[in-house]
Amino acid sequence: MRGKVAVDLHVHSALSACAGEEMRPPEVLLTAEQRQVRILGLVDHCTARNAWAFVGAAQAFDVRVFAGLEVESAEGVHLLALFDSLEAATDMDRVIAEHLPGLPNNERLFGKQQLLDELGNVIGLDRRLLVTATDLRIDEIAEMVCGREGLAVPAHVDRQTNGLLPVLGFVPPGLQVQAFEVSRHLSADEARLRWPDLRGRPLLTASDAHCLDEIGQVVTWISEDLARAEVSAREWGLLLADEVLAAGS
Amino acid sequence: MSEKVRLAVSEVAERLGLLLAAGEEGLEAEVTGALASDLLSYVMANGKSGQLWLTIQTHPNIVAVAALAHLAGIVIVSGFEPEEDTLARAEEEGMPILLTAETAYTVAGRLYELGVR
Repeated sequence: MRGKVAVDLHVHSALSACAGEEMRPPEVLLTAEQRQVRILGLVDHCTARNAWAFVGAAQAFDVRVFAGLEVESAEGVHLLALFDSLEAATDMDRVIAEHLPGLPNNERLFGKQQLLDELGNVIGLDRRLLVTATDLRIDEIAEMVCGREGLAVPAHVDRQTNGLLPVLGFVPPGLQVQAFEVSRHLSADEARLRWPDLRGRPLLTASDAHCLDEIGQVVTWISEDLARAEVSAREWGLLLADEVLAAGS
Repeated sequence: MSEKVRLAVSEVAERLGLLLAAGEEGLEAEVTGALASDLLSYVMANGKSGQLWLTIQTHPNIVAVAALAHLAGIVIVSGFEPEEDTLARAEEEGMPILLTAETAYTVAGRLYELGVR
């Protein structure tokens, strides 16, 4: 798309149990660059412990990384929490850790959760069960993200599993999120037809990539100006929402 | 006085008219109780070995959650249909998946009547 820049705000690393082991910083960022994804959201289930490696490695690529987490609320809803600063992401990670159930991961059933460095070397394993819900309500999580100048986006809101609308049935009034991610299975128009609650709200699409080939397969197109804007993730999210609404999606 | 009975998954399935969709290998396991929940995280944290799980969830993660908690089987209620990869996963794990058009409420009541408590 001429004059437009691709953004993929939902990409997992090998720290997510369900993601492939090839989801290491150099491979992910090279793939993103090759597919002209200029801004990438790195989110793992309920943790940001690999974010530093991706932010560090991104310096060698023409890709900007938002460090984040995909947090699961007590209701079972997934929410992307994205930050422009590693400190904010790390702080969010620390708080979320206090709200996990304290169960161990089962690698055979769910997969490995690999901690990586910038070069993609495995430097450890996260032994906690991360593919599960925190005891925080969706609105509490959104508020925590905003309080840290982050961008809050409910993930795959149309999905039967962990999607905001099938799980809750409506968008809670006053929920502090800047946009909503619709899964690759549905267009924005189809989503609004099915859930009138989404009318007038900014809808994004992203890949939810768990393997290299999925990166950038589904993106959101934004302006060059927005891609370059040097503002906090929260403000950037507000600008993004304006652009997405103006573009009619 | 209520009496606790020993029932295998296969007997429960037969008495309640549940349709086996996958995981035949686990049919002889004893049913020690049941729980009804559609929140996977709740089942991960509270599911107990030998329980039957009544749910409307149909995606492959339900098999991983059931195996994690050592449940006896999964009853997908209200006529919901499991996805293909859910059935494949259940075969791998030997985790029975049973189907019924009845609601969780009704199935729970009938299980209680059977003596599963």
